[in-house]
Amino acid sequence: MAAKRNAVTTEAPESSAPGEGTALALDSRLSKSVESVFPKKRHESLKWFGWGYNDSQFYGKDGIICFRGERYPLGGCELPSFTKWVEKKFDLVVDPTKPFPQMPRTYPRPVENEPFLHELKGTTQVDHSLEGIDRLVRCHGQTLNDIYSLWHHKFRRIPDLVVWPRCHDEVVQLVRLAHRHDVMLVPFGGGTSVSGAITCPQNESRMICALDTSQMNRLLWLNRENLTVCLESGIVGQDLERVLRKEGLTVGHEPDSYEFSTLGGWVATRASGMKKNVYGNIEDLVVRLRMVTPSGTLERECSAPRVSCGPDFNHLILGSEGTLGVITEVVLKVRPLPKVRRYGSLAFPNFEQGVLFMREVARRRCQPASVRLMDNEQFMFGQALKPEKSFWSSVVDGLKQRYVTSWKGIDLNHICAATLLFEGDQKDVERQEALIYEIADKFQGFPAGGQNGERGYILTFVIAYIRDFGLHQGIVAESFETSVPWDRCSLLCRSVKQRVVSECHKRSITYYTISCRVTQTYDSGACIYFYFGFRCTDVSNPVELFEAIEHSARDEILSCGGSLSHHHGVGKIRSHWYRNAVTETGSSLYSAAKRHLDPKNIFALGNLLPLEEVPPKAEVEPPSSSSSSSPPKAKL
Amino acid sequence: MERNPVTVAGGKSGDSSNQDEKQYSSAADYMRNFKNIIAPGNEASMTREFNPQVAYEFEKYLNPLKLKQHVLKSEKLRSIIEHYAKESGQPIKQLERQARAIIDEIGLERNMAIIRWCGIAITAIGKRICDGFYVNSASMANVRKDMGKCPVLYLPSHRSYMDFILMSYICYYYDIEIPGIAAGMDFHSMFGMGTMLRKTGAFFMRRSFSNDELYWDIFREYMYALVANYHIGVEFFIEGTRSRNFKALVPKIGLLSMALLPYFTGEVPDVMIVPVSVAYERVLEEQLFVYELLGVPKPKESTKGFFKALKIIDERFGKMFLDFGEPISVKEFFGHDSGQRMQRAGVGGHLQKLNRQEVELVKQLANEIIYQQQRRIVITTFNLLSLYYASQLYAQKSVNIDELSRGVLHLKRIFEQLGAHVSTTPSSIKADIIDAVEIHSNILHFATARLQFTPMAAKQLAERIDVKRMKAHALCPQTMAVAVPMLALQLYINPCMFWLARPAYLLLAALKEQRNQRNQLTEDISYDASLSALHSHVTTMDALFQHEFIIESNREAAEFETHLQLLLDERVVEVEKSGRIRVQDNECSHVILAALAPFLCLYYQLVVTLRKIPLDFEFSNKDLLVRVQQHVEQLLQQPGGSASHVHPYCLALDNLNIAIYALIQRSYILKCKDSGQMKIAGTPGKCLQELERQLLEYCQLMPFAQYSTAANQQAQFHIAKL
Repeated sequence: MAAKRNAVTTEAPESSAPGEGTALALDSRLSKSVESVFPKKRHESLKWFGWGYNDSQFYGKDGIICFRGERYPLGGCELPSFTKWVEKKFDLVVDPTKPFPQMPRTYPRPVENEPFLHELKGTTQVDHSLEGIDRLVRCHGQTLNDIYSLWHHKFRRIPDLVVWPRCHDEVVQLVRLAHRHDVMLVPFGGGTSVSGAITCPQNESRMICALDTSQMNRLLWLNRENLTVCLESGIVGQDLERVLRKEGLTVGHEPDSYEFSTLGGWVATRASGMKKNVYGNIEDLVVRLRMVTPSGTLERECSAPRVSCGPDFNHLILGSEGTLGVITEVVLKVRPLPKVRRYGSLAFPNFEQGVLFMREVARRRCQPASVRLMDNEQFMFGQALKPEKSFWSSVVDGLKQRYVTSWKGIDLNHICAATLLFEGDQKDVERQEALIYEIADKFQGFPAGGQNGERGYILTFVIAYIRDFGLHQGIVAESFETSVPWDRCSLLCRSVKQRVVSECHKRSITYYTISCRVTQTYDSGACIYFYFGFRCTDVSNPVELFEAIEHSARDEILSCGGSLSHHHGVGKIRSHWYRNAVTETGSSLYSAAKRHLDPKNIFALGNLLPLEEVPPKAEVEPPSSSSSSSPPKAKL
Repeated sequence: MERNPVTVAGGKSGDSSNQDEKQYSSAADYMRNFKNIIAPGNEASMTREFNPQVAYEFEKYLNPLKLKQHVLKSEKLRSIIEHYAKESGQPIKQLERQARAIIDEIGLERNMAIIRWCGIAITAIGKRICDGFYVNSASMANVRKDMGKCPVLYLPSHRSYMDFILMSYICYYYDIEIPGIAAGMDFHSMFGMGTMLRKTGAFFMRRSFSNDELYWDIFREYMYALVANYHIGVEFFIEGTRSRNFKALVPKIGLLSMALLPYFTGEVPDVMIVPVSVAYERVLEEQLFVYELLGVPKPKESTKGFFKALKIIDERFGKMFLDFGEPISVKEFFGHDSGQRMQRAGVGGHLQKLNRQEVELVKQLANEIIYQQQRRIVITTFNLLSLYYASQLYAQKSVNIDELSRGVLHLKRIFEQLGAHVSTTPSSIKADIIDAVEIHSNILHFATARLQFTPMAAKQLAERIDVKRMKAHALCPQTMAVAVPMLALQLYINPCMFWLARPAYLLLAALKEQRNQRNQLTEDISYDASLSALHSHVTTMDALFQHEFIIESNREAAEFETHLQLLLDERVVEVEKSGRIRVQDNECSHVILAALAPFLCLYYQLVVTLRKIPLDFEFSNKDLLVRVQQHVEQLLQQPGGSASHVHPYCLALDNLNIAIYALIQRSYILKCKDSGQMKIAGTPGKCLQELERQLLEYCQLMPFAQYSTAANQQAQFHIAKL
């Protein structure tokens, strides 16, 4: 079952990998190696036990919450109002003495498939590692469960081997090998999945091999005439944007994880970026895709902008969540860098008015690059995150507050805010701004300054660090998202929040926060983000509890007409609902495709459809070495 | 890869383009299509309006300046400059300046006034020194009618600088847009000449050994744009250089690959290739080539040299024949449909280069182009006469004009049976012969009614050649006196080799098989076994001479039939039902073997020389050439030219180089890639001794042993007189 005819061979930089097909050759001098911000040993720069950089985190000092990490605008700041907010919300005093988790001293014993390893070393030049730490940091994504399991050394199964292919052709070799020797493959990009998609299935008995795409991050070519760029799938979002910016271009795809997540991951999960209004979501940005499956490489041969050519198999690859194959190369659209970027913010007396505003903006299709609406709880939380102010700016802020409450007659317990980002030519931006403020006015909204807006967007990347700090201090918190038609938007926000509140009460959780925001607008609906967290100091199984409540929240979402996911994907944690979401027919269609592309189920990730529902493996004798029934549990 | 359609067709009918010739009931009819375009009354008006058929029609046309700008602004150049900037650390601005200078050096221009003035001059000079420019009007019309839909590549055979002058002249004459012509840099440096050539549509190319990467990237891109975005068509010489010995050279695929890249990337729908065959009754550079072959270096092209060359206007060069072949559609030749091409079309053209399979395809195409050029090169009376004369000479016979007429007419029949176009007219055969001999009076003349070599002028012999500039061994005047006329004669035999190489292999095979059968070396004789034995001998020789005679075209099976039929018809070979082979010694067999004899001698003497070199001794190419020439000179100087199996042609450096290359390719000689030093392979499998034995056997099967006796006597007599 060799991979069939294939258009482009992308050879390894030193052209060491044998070509899979020689139908087409690209001038390799026109491809650029991109130096990634992350080393090959990712834990040298990234936290092994949580989100983000090793050098960036929240911490407590003298009872005050601080943030360290010069990469972010909050770097080195003390956050007294945030500290107060936490105290008030969770009745919790920051305890800086709490220990951080320790790196495990032993790792689960690897399942080794000798013939596979032998051939890997003998016939390929793919770099690989059997080291425990390399394996551990690639066994999980960023779900609460993942992190909690890491902290408490709960993983029984982690990858037995990590490989770093350098190009498409090496991936072809690897997939072929894994297929021949029945080794499970986990495509691993940035490791930021929040759906459990890349978490190792704990009951897998075969050897698990994590296929780390980080070394496949070249810019293969750039076509200015078509404004397209071809990249290898392992390129990290920030690397991609940095390289393109030098060329005066941008892809404009900025999911909140874009510092760490990779292009391949975006495609595999159907990611969405903050600025999708201008640039589009990943499916709008993708022109061509290549995915290596055990039965060959799947790709569209043509670069035309749109084709009517039967079902679009790009959409089989998009959202495949690693279950069908490895995405190796992606052709994306690029845009010239915008000349002007301007922030703005609006305040609304209440959330309902804000939603009406958002609806109107969508109706008139005049969305700026980004427009987000926060509910009151989030607005307050955002205000609390302001670092300690200088005397003068606190006076100004005070005056502003006075103006808002007395002149506009607004109740601070209901006020909500929208943040705005405009991009484009000076004139376009001015026109957009004028229109947006005009619409806002109709819904009792009024401009609240560019600074507030800017902070809102910049904080996006910092907020992700709070989860780990909370977990450290005894608060479990996580976000979840959905998309919903306009007519049920307000209803969904209200009902889900209520459901969460009642679930908390049912479980005697008294200290919690639940908030939401509308982060994207479409012609026919919007994307809603929920933040939910509670104090778990007096709970024995906080993650289970959280998941149970999230589960009921999802049930509520679905019954309000919301979707299973807007952009996080289904993964393992939402696979429960997949069958209902796509109908029985749909899920068996997926299964049939899966069976065809991956007959031995070497991509046995259990995403979309829960593992046991994936049809049994083809009658292939597993290699004897991996047949040891259950892997030994490591003593951690 | 499936074989190309031409191959398939070739297997059936011997030659697919035979069809287009069916309309010509006979070879003579074909020759009637040739029209002398400088005959009084036929001349082109150089002042008329020029509204030519363009090669590739567009809605909007670029001019030469815009073409250069197009290249400079191209995405490819931009990215490649960025690449070099990064690699070399030079600022982009500086590289852009370099790029602009390079493109100005390469780029063609167009000035109608100069073209017209050149036209007037060519008409005048042509009328004076030539007996006519004969152009096949039917094939011109045939090519012209299909033009406009895709880029056109004109690929003429290359024997003389006249080739491209003639091509442009003829395009003007037939209202076809004058193509861009790839010219060597040596012209560029000629004062005034470079500019003039450029303004008539030449673009300049540095020698391939220059390794300025940026230069070649720009050149490639210019070629790409010239093919894909420009309308005039491109002309270049697929043999890369003028063939010094008037037979095809191994095709160079560099320019062809560059020109076909836009096809492979899908940026042009197809490419139309027009093989052009140019034949000269007498080549302008003839004497120059003879000396170059012997090792006297080529003078650098200079304007002074050009004016010196103008003295040729006092001489006669006879007729020139130009024929356009049936255009080859690259797409059809490769048998491509959209399935093969859509993959490439999905990626920007500027990002792509050819892959190995495609390079192989281009090589096949190049061979086909050479084949098509060759088969239309008109065989002139003097070619046949030279061949016939040589065959008599080797048999130590002399000929008078009656014998010559009969012989030449006989040869004309043979060649036409093989498919060649022969310019000889039977009705005026004697006048033709006298004319041909007169044109080549520097080689041959009639003395006492017998054809003889013309002795070299005393001045020419006495002229001391600068020994330091010799490419190999400095030959003594006696050798020169023998070699120069005989080499010149051989040059005019060589165009016949395209037709005779394989019949000669077959004849030699028959001789060998006859001997084997007589000596009972071959056991059970049967018809089929004999035929397959012949076939295998032919294949062996094909392999040995594959770089010498460029005749490969996947038509072997059909040609074998044709050639066997010829030999049967001419009663040279008889294959009995029992399989017994009998070879008759007659005029036809002599002629065919005489054609191959000098080459066999050359390979044989090369191997003999090599065998004298100790196994572990390292030597350079030049060392080897010197050794061979020394060895051959020594043999030639044996009293009375009595040495066997040696021909003055064994001194020809170009052929020696081809033979050496063949031996390297077949691992008889090991060549170090870095130093270029060579060594004799000691492996038992590739035994030079065995090769020597084989070649000697072939040499001995020839009905000739001494080749230069007559020339030798004449030369000695002549030198004695001086």
